[in-house]
Amino acid sequence: MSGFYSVLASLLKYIFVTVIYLFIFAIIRMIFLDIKKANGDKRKPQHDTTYLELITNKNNLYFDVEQSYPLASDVVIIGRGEDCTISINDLYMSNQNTQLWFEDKEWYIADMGSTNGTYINGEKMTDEPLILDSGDRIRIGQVEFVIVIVGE
Amino acid sequence: MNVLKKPIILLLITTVMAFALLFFYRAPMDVNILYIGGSVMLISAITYFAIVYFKLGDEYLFLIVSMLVVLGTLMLCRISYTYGIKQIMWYLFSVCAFYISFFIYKYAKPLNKMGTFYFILGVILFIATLLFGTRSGGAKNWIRAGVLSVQPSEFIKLLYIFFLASYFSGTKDKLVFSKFKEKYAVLFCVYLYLGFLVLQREWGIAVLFFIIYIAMEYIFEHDLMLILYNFLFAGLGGTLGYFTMYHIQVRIATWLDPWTDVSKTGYQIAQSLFAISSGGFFGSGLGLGKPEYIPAVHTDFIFSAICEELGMFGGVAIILLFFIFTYRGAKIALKLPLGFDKCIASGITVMFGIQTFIIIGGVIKLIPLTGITLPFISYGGSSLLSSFIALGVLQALSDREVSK
Amino acid sequence: MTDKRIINILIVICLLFMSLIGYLTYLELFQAEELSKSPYNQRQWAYEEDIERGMILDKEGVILAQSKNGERMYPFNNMYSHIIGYNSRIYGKSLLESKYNQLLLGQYGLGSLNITGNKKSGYNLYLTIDHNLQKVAYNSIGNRNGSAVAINPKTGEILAMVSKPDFNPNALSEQWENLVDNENSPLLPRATSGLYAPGSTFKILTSSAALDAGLQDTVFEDKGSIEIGGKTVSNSGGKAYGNITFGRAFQLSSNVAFCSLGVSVGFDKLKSTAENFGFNKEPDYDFPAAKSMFPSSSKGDAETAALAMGQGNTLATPLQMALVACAVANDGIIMEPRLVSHATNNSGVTILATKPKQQSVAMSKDNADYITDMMVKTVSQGTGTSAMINGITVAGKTGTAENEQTVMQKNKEHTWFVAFAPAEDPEIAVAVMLEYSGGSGASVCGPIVKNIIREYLR
Repeated sequence: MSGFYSVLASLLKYIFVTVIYLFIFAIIRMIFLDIKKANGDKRKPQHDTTYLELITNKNNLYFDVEQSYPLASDVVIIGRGEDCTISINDLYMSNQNTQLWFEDKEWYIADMGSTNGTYINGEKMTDEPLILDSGDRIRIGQVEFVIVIVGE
Repeated sequence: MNVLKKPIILLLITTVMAFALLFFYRAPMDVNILYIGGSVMLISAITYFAIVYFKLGDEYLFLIVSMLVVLGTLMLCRISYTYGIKQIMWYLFSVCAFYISFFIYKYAKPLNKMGTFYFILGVILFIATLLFGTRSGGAKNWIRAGVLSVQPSEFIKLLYIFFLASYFSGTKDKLVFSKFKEKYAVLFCVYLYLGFLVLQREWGIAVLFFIIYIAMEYIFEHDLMLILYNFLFAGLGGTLGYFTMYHIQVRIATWLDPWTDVSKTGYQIAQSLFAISSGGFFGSGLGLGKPEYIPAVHTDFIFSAICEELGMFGGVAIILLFFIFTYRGAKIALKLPLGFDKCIASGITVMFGIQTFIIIGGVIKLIPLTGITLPFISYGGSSLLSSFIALGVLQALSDREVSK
Repeated sequence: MTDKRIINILIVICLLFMSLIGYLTYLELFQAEELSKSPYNQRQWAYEEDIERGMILDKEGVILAQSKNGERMYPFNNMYSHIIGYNSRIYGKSLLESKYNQLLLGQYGLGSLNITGNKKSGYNLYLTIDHNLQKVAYNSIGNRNGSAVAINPKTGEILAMVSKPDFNPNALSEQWENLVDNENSPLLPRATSGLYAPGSTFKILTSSAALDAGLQDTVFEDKGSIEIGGKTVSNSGGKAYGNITFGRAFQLSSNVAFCSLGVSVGFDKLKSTAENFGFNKEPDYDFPAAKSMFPSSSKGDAETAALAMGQGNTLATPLQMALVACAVANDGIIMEPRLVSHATNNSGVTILATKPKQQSVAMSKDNADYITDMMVKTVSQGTGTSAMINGITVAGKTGTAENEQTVMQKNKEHTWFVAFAPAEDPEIAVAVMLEYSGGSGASVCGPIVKNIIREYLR
């Protein structure tokens, strides 16, 4: 092997490793910036419709539940069943537990004859539907939401 | 620092340096190597810009993989020019496969309903390997078809992840043959695969399959008792294997102490350790070490060669690259909604992460050595192709998450 | 929940990767050296084949070891075997060949950039050894087992160092089994690693301790023997010297006087004096050497008395006793002994040069002057007359040390002679030791010391 090559390779190895690490650093940096941006977005959730915000701590639950559910349609059914509008795999929920609907510019809530019932602001609902105000707490099974009514 | 905002530039600098060095290393100097380096650079750059420009999802995955491929081909060209050239050819094919798998996964819809198909295809490939396979380095894992040699287990790996994903994303209470819970039927299938792998003596892939299953079971079904039983069963099987199978005993013995039989069974690992330790922190410099002393240096032991010539820092760089890759994969999986896609993303991510750990841990003697390739780096068309198909799928999944 | 579990898996993989990096670092930091020396590591040899290993030369440039076509050759056969050691593909490397391996392979500082033509070449190592002096010392010892060390007391440069028996590094494979099995241990470099009771040469240290304690005016009543702590100690040959001064007791090497001196000075003072001279300290020189030992406690006056005359559990290497002579010669200061003077690359450019370095202050200048005077008289009118040289003032001290063989059989003592010259402005300090030689230090070792000093000051 030529002496020239030996010198070249011995010198270049330092530069080579440095460039690789710069590359790794650059990628980590960009990923970091990405996450920061994504987190910045998350802090201000944009809702242009009425939505349910979870107030139970998600980490104590063994099943999946979103932090918030927009009420996109005029009739929303919450329950364990997969065909529900909001399907939550909570064993304390019935297949179809609670119904919410929009009528005459008001959101109504009714329990659908569930085993464990629906609680509004801590009180168990009777069979009568109720009109919801923004900020009412709704407990179904092991999860509790607060309803945020947007618009009129 | 402006280059830090554009890692692609650093990738291109690395490629240029790598092939320039190779050009001087080869005697007589061969201009072809510059053309080859140029084409590798071109492919990486075009694909990267295509991903960014057409917004085809995560832009880091391909970048990281390109760096791994550059380092891999550099090392291969240095060890053996023919291997290096072949590997670069395979790289071209694999990038095509990457695009194809990207578009298939993106537009083909009923992929999650074909669990049985994946499973049966896998079994057929296994049986074909057993019937027509040739033995190479103790493992019977090659099928020769004309000039081509295929290592089916590399592709079964993908089928296996698709099969598991189909199951974990489906309804799980269904009964098979009106008797067994599907859970146990899948368990049976997993162990059937493991059985085939043991027959072919592909210990590394067998361990990988087992861990992928455990990880997916943990994430998507979370039946901790079942996982515990699996570990007990695997432990029992392992112990039984240890006392009945000579190969396993040898592997464990050489892991614990390669020096007692250094001329035979401990030879590989000893040579690997010599190579790694001779490199020091910055390595001997490309072409100035002696990685050719390690048997199978171009496949299983390529990491040792990298450590020898690019130093421990080079080796750590490889590990870090794989780690960022795994992190990106997990990130993609996290953003996807519960379902088939999430299962696939998790499965592929676990596969790359664990496979890397198994082989690097093996060659540095942290864990017993089990032959398996280092994804994107080791020589081998099958390995490269299957890795790039998996990458294409992951890319499609990241795109899905973005377009959601 | 699923997401949390995916993160858990990611954490596990992260930990696995970190363990890889951790183990890799451990390998490089703590295992690499051992691995690189492994005899199974043909990498090292192949790597060395690409390099013309550097030469080893004496201080004037006489070639002591050189490589031709990958073969290591030692032109003086046995003469330097216990200084240079050997470099063998089968048996490994020893002594300087091992200690300076990297340098001889051209690796020092930033990397290996010493390139001539197409083959790399290592650096050349120049020793402090004076080949002519080494030859004289080597021939003077002849076939006897023992050692001679000559040092420049002002610089610490080792001028000659012989250990016998020795071996021929050019013919290792033919002799190897014999070398390993031989009960004379020809592979042991006695000068630096052989440990022997120093006998009466240790009285130099006892004297220094006594001078510190202000006992130089003591007059001893020497009846030929003395009883201390229930044990009787007698002078060599049972001679009774009557009333003698401290100085006379030193010249005549009176055991009676020095036993009572030792007891008066006390064990602790003896020990601290010995440690000032380098005993009980792991040597950190540019060549491998063993630690000379002085016991950590004494069981009573009998043992203290024995220690004061260099018996008991005191053990010293010939090198250590040469350093004792150096201390007296150099106003009480011991310079660190050096074997390597400098290293050059192929074009003669110096890559590395060693400098004189003070090892320790063994005693005060006053003590050194006082002891010099006594040692001069020892040679001119005491036990050391056999080392007298016309026209040169030699200062010396003899020693005869009992050992495990003298218990059963007389005439198997180790004999010692330490000396330096010229006493007015010392240029060379010498220690000669012959094992199991019998006789007296004066009769057996004196002529060897004389040859070495005469040759050097010629």
